[in-house]
Amino acid sequence: MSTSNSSKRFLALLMQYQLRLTCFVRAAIPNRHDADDVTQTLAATLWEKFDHFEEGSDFEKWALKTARFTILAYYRDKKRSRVCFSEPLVEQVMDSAETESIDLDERADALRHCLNKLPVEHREAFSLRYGDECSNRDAALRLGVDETALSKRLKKIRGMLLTCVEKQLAMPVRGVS
Amino acid sequence: MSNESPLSGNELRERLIELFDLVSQDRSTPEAERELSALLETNEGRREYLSIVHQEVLLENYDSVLSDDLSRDDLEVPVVSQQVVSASSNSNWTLMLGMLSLAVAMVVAVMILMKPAPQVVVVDDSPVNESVVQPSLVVMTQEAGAEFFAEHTPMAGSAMRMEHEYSLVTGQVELKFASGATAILEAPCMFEVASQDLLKLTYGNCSVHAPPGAEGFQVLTPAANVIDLGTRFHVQVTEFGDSNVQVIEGEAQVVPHDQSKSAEPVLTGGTAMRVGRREAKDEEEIAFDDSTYRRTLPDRVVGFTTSGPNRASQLETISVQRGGGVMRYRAGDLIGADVVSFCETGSEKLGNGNLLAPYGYQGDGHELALHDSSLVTGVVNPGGSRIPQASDPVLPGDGVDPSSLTPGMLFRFHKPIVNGPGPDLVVFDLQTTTNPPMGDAFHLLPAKFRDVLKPHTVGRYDIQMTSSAAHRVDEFLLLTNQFRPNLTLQDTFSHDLTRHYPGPRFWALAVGVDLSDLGFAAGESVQELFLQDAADDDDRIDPVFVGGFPAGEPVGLQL
Repeated sequence: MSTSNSSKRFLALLMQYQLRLTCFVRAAIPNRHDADDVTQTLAATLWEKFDHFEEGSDFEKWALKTARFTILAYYRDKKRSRVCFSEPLVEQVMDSAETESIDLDERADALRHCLNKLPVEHREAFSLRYGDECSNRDAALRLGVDETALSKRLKKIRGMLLTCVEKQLAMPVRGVS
Repeated sequence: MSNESPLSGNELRERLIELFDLVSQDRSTPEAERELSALLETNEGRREYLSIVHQEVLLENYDSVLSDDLSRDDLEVPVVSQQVVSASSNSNWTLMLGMLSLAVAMVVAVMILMKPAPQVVVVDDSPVNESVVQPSLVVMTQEAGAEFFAEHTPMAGSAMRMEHEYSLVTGQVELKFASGATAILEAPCMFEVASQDLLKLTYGNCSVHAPPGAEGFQVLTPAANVIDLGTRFHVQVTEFGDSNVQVIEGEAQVVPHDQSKSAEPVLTGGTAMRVGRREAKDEEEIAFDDSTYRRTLPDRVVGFTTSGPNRASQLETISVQRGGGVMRYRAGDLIGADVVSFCETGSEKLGNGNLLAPYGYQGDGHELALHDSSLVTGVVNPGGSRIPQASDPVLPGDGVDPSSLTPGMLFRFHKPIVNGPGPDLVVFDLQTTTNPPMGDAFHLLPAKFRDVLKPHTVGRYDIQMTSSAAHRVDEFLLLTNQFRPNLTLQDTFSHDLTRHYPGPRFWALAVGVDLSDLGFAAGESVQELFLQDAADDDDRIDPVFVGGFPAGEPVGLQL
C-alpha cells in the first residue's frame, strides 16, 4: 500500500474506533488530563506501528492491545508518583472494558434521546458544561444559579440519564422522539 | 475477590459518579482513590463504572457526538463532503488526523506541545465511493506572538480551517501545506487557506518556501496568481491590492488576473515585479529586496512542558529557537539563578506579598529565593521604575541608605551564561486573566554598566496569555510579611508569614532574552543581571523561574 493510501486507510479506521479507544483509555485512567496525554501517545503509536497491522485483520483488537501496552507503560512510568489504580486492578478494568459488548453509536443515540427529554434549563446546563466546556462555576454564573446547587443537580441528572439510557437500550424497538 | 459491592443500585451509581468526578478533575484524595478501587473490585462496580465512563466520554464529545446539528453518523466513514468536525476532548484524534501528512517524528514532537483545538476541517477531495476521509493537511506548525482578530490563535500543530478568512493582527505564523510548501505570514495580514496547495493573500506579507516536490504551490492575490516553480519567494499585498513579488531563489510564474495586460512572466532568483490593480502601469519591475523574506520565525521561547501533583507545578522541558534552530532543554540542564538582592519600594496595595510557595509550605521563605524548577515558587512583585535604571543599581549593604536602593532584584546565575545566538536566558511570569495579556513588562539590566551596555525592556512575552503554549499552574500560596517600605530580601523572610490563597487561576508565561539586547558581545559571559518591573501599571512581575541556556546544543533533546 502506498504511504498515501496507508494514511487514508489508517485515518478511516482511527475515525471509526476513536470513541471506543477513548472510552477504553479513560476507564483505565480516569484522570482526564492524563487520559488525554495517553490518548495522544496512543494515536502516535498506532500510526507508527500501522505498517505492522495486517490488512484484513481486526483493527479494534489490534488497537486495544496497543492501548493496553500504552496504559501499562503509563502506570509503570507513574510509579514514583501517585496513581489511581493498582496494576492488578487496572488489568481487571481493562479486561472488563475489552470484553464488554458495547455499541457506542446506539448508546449515543439513546443518550441524545434522553437529553432531549430533559427540561430546557437542564439541557442548557449540560450544553454549557459539556458543549461549551464551561466550569461549573462559569456555567452557574451564566445560568444565574448557585454553583454548588448546579454541581449537585448535574450529578443527579447524570445518574438519571444513565437510568434513562439503560431503559432505552433495553427496549426492543426504540423510537427517537 | 468479592463479587458483591458494599453499595448497590442508585447508591453505588451516585457514589461512583462522585468518585469518578474527583479523580477525573484532579481533585481526588488517597481515600477517594482507595474507595473507588474497592468499588471496582466487584463485577457490579466495574459494570456500573464502565457505563459512567461511556456516558462521560460521550458528554465530553457533546458537540461532535450528541448535539442535534451534527449526529454521530456524520463522524463515521465514509465521509463524502466537506464538513467541520467540532473537537473538544475528541481533538486528540482529530488533531492527529490533521497532521498525518507530516513525518511521524514531527507529529510526536508537536503533540508534546499541543492542546485541544477548537476545530478541524475535514475535506474529501477523493472519489465519493472510496470510503475514506481526507483531512485538511494544512497545519499551523508554529506561531510567534500571533493574535487573530475575533478568534483564538490556533494551537501549534492544528489544522487550519479551509475557506475561512484569518486576520492576523500581531505576530507571525508558519503554515505547512500538504505538498511540503511552507508559508510564513506576518501581521498585519489577511489570508485564507483556499485548498491544499493554494493560499489566498488579501493583504500583508507572506514568505513561501516550496522545496523540491512542492512545485505548483500558489499564492492568490487580488492582482495576480503567483505559481511556485521550485523556489523561495515573498509576496506583499498592499492595501490597494497591488502585489509585489520578490523571488529569492529558483523561479516563480506571475499570472496577472487581467489577462489582457501582458504575458505571464517567469521571475528568477534576484528579480522582482509589481502587479497593480490600477488602470495605468499595471506591471512594472521593481528593485529586488530580499530583506523582507523570512526563512524562519523569530528566535524565541517556543513552548514548555510541566508536571506536578496536579498539572503544572514543575518545569520539565523548554523548547527555544536559537539562531534559527529549535532546541529542547531539560529544566535541570538550565543554568539556575538565585535571587541575591531585592528591593520593593513599598506599596500598601501590594502589602509586601513577595513570596510564592506551594500549598502546605511551612518555612520562613529563605529557600524560595533559591533556584528550583517550580513555577509556583519564588520572590515576586519587585520594585520597578518606568524609566529603566541606566547605571549600576544601588544594592542593600552596610551603611546604604534604604531610600537610595534601586527598586528591583538581582539574580546571580550558578555559573556564567554565554551570549550565544538567540535567547540566552528565559524568564517565566505568572499572570491571571485580569492581568496584562502580553505579560508583565520588565527591564533587564547589567549589574555593572560600562559604555556599550544598556538596559533592555521586555514588553511582550513570547508565550503570552493568548498563546496556546501558556500553561495554567497549580494553586499556590502568597506569603506576606508586615508592610514596610523599601523592603529588602531579608525583610521578606519570617517565621510569622501570613498565608494567602489567591482565588483566580494563574498561567505561566515565558520570554527569552538575548544578551545582545543589553549590549553584551557575542561569546561574552554574564553571571549577574538586575531585573526591574517596568512600572507601567499596578501589576508587578512574578519572575518564578529565571534560567540560562547552557552553551552548545542540549544533549539528547534536540528536536
